[in-house]
Parts: sequence; structure tokens; C-alpha cells
Amino acid sequence: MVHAVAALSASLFLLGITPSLETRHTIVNIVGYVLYVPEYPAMIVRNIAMTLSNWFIGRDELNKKIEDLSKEVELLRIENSAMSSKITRMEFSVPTEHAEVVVRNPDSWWSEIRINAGVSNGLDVGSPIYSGGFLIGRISSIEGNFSWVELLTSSSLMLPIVVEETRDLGVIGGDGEGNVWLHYVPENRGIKEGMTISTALVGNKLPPGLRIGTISGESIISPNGFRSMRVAIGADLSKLYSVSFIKPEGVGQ
Amino acid sequence: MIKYLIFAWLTQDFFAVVMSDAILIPDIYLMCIIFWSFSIKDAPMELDIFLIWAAFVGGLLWDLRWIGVPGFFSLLYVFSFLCAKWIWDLFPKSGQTVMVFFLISWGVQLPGFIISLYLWSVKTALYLQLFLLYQAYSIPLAAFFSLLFARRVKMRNV
Repeated sequence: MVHAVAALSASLFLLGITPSLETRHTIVNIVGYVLYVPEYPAMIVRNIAMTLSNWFIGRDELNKKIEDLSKEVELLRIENSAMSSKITRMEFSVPTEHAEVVVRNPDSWWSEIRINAGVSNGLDVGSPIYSGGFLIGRISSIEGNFSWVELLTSSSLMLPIVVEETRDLGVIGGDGEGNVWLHYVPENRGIKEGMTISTALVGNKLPPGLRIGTISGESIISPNGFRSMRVAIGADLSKLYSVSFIKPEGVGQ
Repeated sequence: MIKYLIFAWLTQDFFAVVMSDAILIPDIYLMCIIFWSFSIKDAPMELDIFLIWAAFVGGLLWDLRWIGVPGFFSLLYVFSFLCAKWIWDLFPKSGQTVMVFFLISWGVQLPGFIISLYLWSVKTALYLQLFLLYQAYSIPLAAFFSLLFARRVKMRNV
């Protein structure tokens, strides 16, 4: 009886204190590290199962072609972005690398993911992460072989962007519920649905011109005359099994 | 027993990794705990104490790996185990049959399923579909552990 009450109390205590606990990420990281080895066969099985299911529905070859083309388009988009802005801080001759999403907690589903790539893969805090050629977020914390990625839909990530058709500058921010909004756009600027948005100059880790998505029709007007418009991000964050990033030349070779 | 519990937890984790999330994952670990608790005749109090803390630790690990909020599944596992144990002890020894074991082990998986729906913000329209899917593995899982229980009872009575 005493043990039952103690175990229940300990659980409730943990539930009560952990939302404000700073070390929560560290503990989750340690568990992730420890379980990486026993989970490795499961990840192989998952990849095999996905390949087999593609094969069974007779679309394997087609999917492979699409995958190759997607990678090519992804690389070209990034190259194009960097070339057009005359900033070539990274070597784009190296193909993009892929990483698996290993943790995506339900309480922070739209805020962050953990991937199995880190410092050893040439990543750094602030490095951009892509999916399908579109920016999905940036590295918020990093370790040797793992890192946490803050997603565009996170309410704590604000990114300066540019509307490519009008060259208007604004800021995008998530609402933590899967939506991304473009803020601080004057109402009379003629920004319309379907216009493309990409990153504006932020810093040396996030080059300008990275594709994010398009403006969608929904908008809200704030009392001070600024409009917040909903952004349809190019990547599908609901189906985020793997992500890509650019591996700087010389890393891990 | 510890090695069986570790194996059960890793098996449950294996399914979660293969399915890429932890929404519809059978509670193999909890079932294993209940199996050990019910299948040992005249089990000492120490065994139940050990299993309570095993439920706590297993749930905590599950929280840290899949939920990100420590305490959620540890509370669920401990509470479910205690409820199952309480119901089991309500029956006289002669009434602690394989069918009762099956019903308890099937029912004990329900709270985990309901909490998962809440945690993963599943749309209401999908509740019935997911519930039917859940039955597709929870009933065979309960049946599997019931068979193990029946086998153990038979061996005990030989």
C-alpha cells in the first residue's frame, strides 16, 4: 500500500514539476542515446517495410525517380537561392545529407524534433534544415550525433522573410498549433495568395533566399493596421520522417 | 523476471519505432507485469512491490522516450496495475480463471489507448476507426497472455 501510494505520488510529482524543468531535454537526450543501439534494428525494419510496401504497390521505380528528382530540385533550389543572393558560405558541390527524425514529442509536436545528425555531420546551432527542398526549421541545440530542430511552426521561432514578388519584408512565426503566420505586412502592399516567401538576410547560418512556402488566403488585421497572413509552408510537417541538410565539404570525409 | 520485463519493454519500443509514433502501440510491458503478478501462486508481497516500481520505471522510460513529459505513463502503468490487481483479488481463488485474466488484461489496455488519443490530439472523427484498430491488436495480445497464463496454471497444477 505504501509503495503504491509512493509510486503514484512520484508520478504526479514528476508530472507537476517537469513542464518547468530546464533539464528535461538533457534527460530525454540521455534516454535517446541509450536506446539508439537497441532501436537500430527497428529503424532498419521500418526502412525495409517502407521500401517493401512501395514495391508491393508497384511504384518503387517511380518513387525512386521522384526521390532522385526531388533531391535534385532541392539542391538546385538551395544553390539558386545562394547564387542569386551572392552568398556562398557553404560548398554546394556536396549533395544534401539526410537524417531520420528520432523523437517528436506530442506536447511539442509543432515546436521541435530530434534528428540523428549533429556536430559530427557538420551541423551547428542555427543551421537550416529542409524537407522536400523547403526550409522547415533550424538547429536549436546540438550534440555529437543528434540535434534538436526548432520548427517553423514553433511559437518561439521568428524569422525575417521576403515576399519574392513584391520584395516586401516581414516576419514569420508559428502559433505552436501547426500554423505559420506572416506578420508586420502593411495592408496596402498588395500581397496576394500564392506569392512565394523565402528567408531574408538573418545571419551567417541562414542564407537569404531559402524557400519557405507561399501566402495562403487567410489573414487577420491587427488594430494597428498591420496584417497577419497565413503561410502555407512548402514542406509537409505532418509526414516528417526524415529531413535533409547541407553537409559542408570536408566534414566526415 | 527482470530480463523478461526488459525484453517486453524493448519489444513495445520496437513496435513504436517501426510504426514511427506511439499512438497505437500494444502495452506489452504492462501486460507482462500483470502476467507475472497474477500467474505466481501465493506470490509474496515483495513481488507486488517490485512490480509496482517496475511499472513506474517502465512508464517513466516510455515517457522520456516517446511523450517528453515524465510521469504520464508511469502514473498510467502504476494505476492500471493497481486497478487490475484490485479486481483480480476481488475474485476467490477458484474464480481466478483464464477468462477473468483475459477480461482484465483486455480492459487494462483501455486507459492507455484513451490517453494516447488525448496526447496525440487525434480528431474525434477518427475515434471509432482507431478503436477498431486498437481491438485488432489488444484482443490478440490479451489472448496471447491468457494462453501463457493458462499454460502456467496447468503446469502449476500438474
